[in-house]
Amino acid sequence: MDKLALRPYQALVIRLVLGGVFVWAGTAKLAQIPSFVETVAAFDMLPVDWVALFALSVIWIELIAGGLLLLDIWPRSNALVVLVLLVMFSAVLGINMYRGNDVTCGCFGGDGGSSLAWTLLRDLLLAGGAAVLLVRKEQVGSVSSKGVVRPYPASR
Amino acid sequence: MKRIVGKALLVTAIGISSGALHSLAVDDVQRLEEGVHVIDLAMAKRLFDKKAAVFVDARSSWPYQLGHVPGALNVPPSEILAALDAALADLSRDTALVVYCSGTTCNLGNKLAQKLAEEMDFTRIYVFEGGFPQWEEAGYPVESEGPF
Repeated sequence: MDKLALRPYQALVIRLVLGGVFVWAGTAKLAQIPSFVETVAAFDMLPVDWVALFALSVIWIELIAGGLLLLDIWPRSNALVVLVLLVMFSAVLGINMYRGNDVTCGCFGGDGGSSLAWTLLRDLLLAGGAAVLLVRKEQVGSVSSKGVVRPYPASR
Repeated sequence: MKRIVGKALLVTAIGISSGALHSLAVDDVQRLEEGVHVIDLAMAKRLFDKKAAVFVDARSSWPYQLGHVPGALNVPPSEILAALDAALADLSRDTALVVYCSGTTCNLGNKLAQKLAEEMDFTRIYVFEGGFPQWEEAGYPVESEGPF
């Protein structure tokens, strides 16, 4: 299968949006840890003893992967990390919608007021962006202050 | 592709390690579990200091008026149903409640905790076994009502 060919700025925009959203989400959750731990517990997908560890791990993975995406460090690997997270989030939201559970996603710390359906759609869109970043043809996204696009070495 | 996956696993491992370290550092007040649990004086004090729970005094109204944990609601055994309705009806059911009585010899705290869980559907109830005598003995703040 041919990899997607992206214009330099398209890859840059996707990377910055993904990185920004994940750093924002991780920071917001970090500021409201008890609320996020309770949200994870409400999903009823994990044994109680694992909830806090899982919630805190998600927060730190979001912060690290999002930050590295913003900094353009290992962009494909971090696109894979956020893709896996987004697929997992979508699965959890889908299961809770199927169960009819009245829960909030806790994506940005508080409930954010979004419905689960809208949150699921947003996660799938972001997952699409991460997938495009992962399989793109050109490894482009690093733009100098003069607007010059620097292609990465093939091994990166 | 192997290299990409390897780096992705490395990032994930660093994230999980950070989460594990963080979970060790997070105050246990932030990890209150659901259900009915027995807590000690130190935990009761932390919940009080952080205003992380509503204290419920299970003793009768006379000892309550003489002295109680500041801000504690009184649910005396003689009028338990009416008192529950009056004092706790408006609280969210996931509010953490610390129930106390007159120490380990007093069973009213356990009985009240059971009622709160089974009849009023509160999900986070902590029975402070040492009760008011231990609280008072530790020199923690006490509030009284009336001219005592």
